[in-house]
Amino acid sequence: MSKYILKKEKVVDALNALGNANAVYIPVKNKRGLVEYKELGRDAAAADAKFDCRPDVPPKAILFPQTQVLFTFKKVDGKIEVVPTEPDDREKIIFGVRPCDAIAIAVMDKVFIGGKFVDTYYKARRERTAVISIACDGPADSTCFCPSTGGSPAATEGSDVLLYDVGDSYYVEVVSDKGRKILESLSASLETPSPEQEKRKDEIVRKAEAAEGFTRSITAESISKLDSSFDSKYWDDVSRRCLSCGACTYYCPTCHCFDINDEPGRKRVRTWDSCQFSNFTMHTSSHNPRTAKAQRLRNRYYHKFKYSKDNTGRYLCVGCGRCIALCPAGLDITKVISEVK
Amino acid sequence: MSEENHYIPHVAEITSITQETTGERAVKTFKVDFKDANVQLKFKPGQTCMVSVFGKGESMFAISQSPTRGSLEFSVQRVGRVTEMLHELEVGDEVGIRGPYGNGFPVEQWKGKNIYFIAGGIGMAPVRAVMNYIVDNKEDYGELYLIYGARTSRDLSFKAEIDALEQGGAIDVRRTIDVEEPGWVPLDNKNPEQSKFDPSSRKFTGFVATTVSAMKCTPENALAVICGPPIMIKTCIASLAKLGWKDEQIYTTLENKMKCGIGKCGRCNIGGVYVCVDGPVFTYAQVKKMLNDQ
Ligand SMILES: Cc1cc2nc3c(=O)[nH]c(=O)nc-3n(C[C@H](O)[C@H](O)[C@H](O)COP(=O)(O)OP(=O)(O)OC[C@H]3O[C@@H](n4cnc5c(N)ncnc54)[C@H](O)[C@@H]3O)c2cc1C
Ligand code: SF4
Ligand code: SF4
Ligand code: FES
Repeated sequence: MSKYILKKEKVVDALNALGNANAVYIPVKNKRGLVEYKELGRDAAAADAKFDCRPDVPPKAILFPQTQVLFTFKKVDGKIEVVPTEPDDREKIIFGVRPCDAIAIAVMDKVFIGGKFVDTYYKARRERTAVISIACDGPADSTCFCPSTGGSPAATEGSDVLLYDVGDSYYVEVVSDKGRKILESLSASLETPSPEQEKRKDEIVRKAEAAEGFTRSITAESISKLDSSFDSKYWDDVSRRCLSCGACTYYCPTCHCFDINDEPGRKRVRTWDSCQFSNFTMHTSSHNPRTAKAQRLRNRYYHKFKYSKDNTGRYLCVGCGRCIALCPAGLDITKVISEVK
Repeated sequence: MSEENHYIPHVAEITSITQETTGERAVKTFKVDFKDANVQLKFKPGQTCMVSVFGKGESMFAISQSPTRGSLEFSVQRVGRVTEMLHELEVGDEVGIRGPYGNGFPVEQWKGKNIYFIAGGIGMAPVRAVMNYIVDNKEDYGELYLIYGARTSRDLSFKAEIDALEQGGAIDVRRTIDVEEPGWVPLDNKNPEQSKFDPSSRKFTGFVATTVSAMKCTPENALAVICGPPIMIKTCIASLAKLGWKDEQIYTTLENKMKCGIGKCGRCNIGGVYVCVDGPVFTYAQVKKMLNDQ
C-alpha cells in the first residue's frame, strides 16, 4: 500500500486542485449550525472545511438525492414520450468522510446495486464518486459506536483513500486504484512519511483496533435477542416517547426508504421517505400493517439489525450515532437494543 | 443503454377495455400493446406490473391474463386516485408499464396435480392468469376446479370466459355470492359441513369458505390457490385445514403497499420478506413463518 504525507497547510490548495476536474464535496457548517457536505466552489470554500468532527449530516444525498426526478414526459402529436433524467455524470470526490459513513456507502451499494435489480440513478453517481476519508483518533463523538457494528475509527471499507491526522499533517494511505489515480494528480503536494509520522499513524490504528474510548456499544448477544422479541411488549414501552418525526431516518447514512409520485410539470419524482411515518405502509383499503408507533419503531430496529443481516449478511447500521444525537425524544439505539427483552 | 432503468415505464396503448362489473367499485379489464415493437414482456402467471397513468401516478396490478394467450391484460378495480383515472381512459389512450415483478406461481412444480382455484372479488385477476395457463397446458395437470365468490352475481368478473371454460368441460366451476338471489342454492355459513351440497349445483349463496367446506375439496394429490380479501383467505385456509389439507399445499398471494416493486423503497416488507420481489405468491407454510407484521 502506498503511503504519503499531505501537510495540513497544503490541504486548501489540494482541494482546489481537485476541484478543477471534479465536483468536490467537503463538510462545512451550514446556516443552522449543522455540519454537512457542500460542493466546493458552489456552496463552500476550501478554507471552510471542517475536518475535526463527525458531520451532523452524512454524505448520503450526494449519491441518493433527497429529490430525484426519475423522468419527465411530453406529448408529441398527442402521443406520450418518456424522457429519462440524464444520469449525473460529473466526476465527484467526497473529501473528509468519516470511516462509518464510508462503510455506509458500501452498505448502500448492496441495497442499490447489489441484488437482482440495479438502481440506475444511484449507480451512475456511485461509479463516478471517489471517497477520501479521515480516520477518527478515538470516537469522534460521544454517541459513536462503530466497533459494535463491525466498523472501526480507522476502517478502510468504502474509502478510496484514508487520511490519518498525525498533527500538522495527514498521513495518506491509498486504498483503491481510484484513490491512486486521484493522488497522482496531487503528487506535487505529497511527501514521504517520517518514522515519527508512521508511529503516530500506527497509534491511531492501534487505538481503533482496541476500540479505545467508546462509551456506547451493542453486543452480539443483545442483537440475537431480537430473534425472539418481535412480539414483546417492550416495543410499546420503548416507543412511548417516540414522536414518529423521522429525524433518525433522515440523518441516518444507511436509511434509504423512498416514495415515488407524479408532480405537476409532467415529471415523476423520487423523494426520501421514512418508515416512521404513519401512512408509509397504509393500504388503499386503509388497512395499515404498521399503524402503531411501536410497530414502526420496531421495524426500523429490526431492519437495521435483523432483516438486513439475514438478507444481505450485514447490518444496516454503521454505528455513527447520529440518530442518538439528533433524536428530539432522546431515544438511544444502543440502549434500545441492549435492553431488548 | 445497456442496463435497464427499472423506473422508466414503457408506453403502451390500450387496445380494448372490458367492463367486467359496474357500480362504485367497478372492475375493468384493459388489454394493452407496447408502442415500441421491440419491447416484449416475458412473464409468468402471478407476476405483476406497475401501471402508470402519466401525470397521476402508478399502481401495482397482477397481470390478469396467461402468457399463453398472447396479450397483456390488467383487471382493475376502481378504488382510489390512480385506479379512478385508469377507469376514465378509453381505447387508444396511453399508459405506462414497468415489470414484470414478483415470483409468480410455481406452475412447473404443480404438474400432475389436481388444482383448486379459489378466488374472491378482484382476487380473480391473478387466478384468471394462472387458471388459463393451466387450462392451456391441461395435459400436464390433473382435475381442475374453480370456486369463485363475489358479493352479488353482478360482481362476478370474466363471466363469458368462465362460462365458456365450464361448458367446454375444462374445469369444474362453482360460483358463490354473499346475498341470496333466485336460482342460487343457499349454503349454511354457520354449519358449512352440514350444508346440503348437490354436486350438480353450480351457483350457491354463502361465503367462499363455506362452499369449500361443503364441497369437501380433497387434499390427495392436490393443491389450492387462494386469492382474495384477507378475511376470505383466512377462512378458506381454515376450511381446507379441517379437510386435512397441509400448509404446503395451499398457495396464496399477499398484497402490501408498493412503490418501487424492486425491493428498494422499504415499504412492502413483512419482517424480512419483501412482498414485491419475494412474493406475491407464498405457500401458507411460508406465510405462517412470517413475523406478525401485517
Ligand atoms: C401485488 C399486488 C397486486 C395487485 N393486483 C391488483 C389487481 O390485479 N387488480 C386491482 O384492482 N388491484 C390490485 N392491487 C391493488 C392495487 O395496487 C391498488 O388498489 C391500487 O394501488 C390503488 O391505487 P389508487 O391510486 O387507485 O388508490 P390510492 O390509495 O388513492 O392511491 C394510491 C397511490 O396514489 C397516490 N395518491 C393517492 N392520493 C394522493 C394525493 N392526494 N396526492 C398525491 N398522491 C396521491 C399515492 O402515491 C398512493 O400511493 C394489487 C396490489 C398489489 C400490491
Ligand atoms: S462512529 Fe466511528 S468512524 Fe464514525 S465518526 Fe464515530 S468514531 Fe468515527
Ligand atoms: S441507525 Fe443510527 S447509529 Fe446506525 S447508522 Fe443509522 S443513524 Fe447511525
Ligand atoms: S415495493 Fe419497494 S421494497 Fe417492495
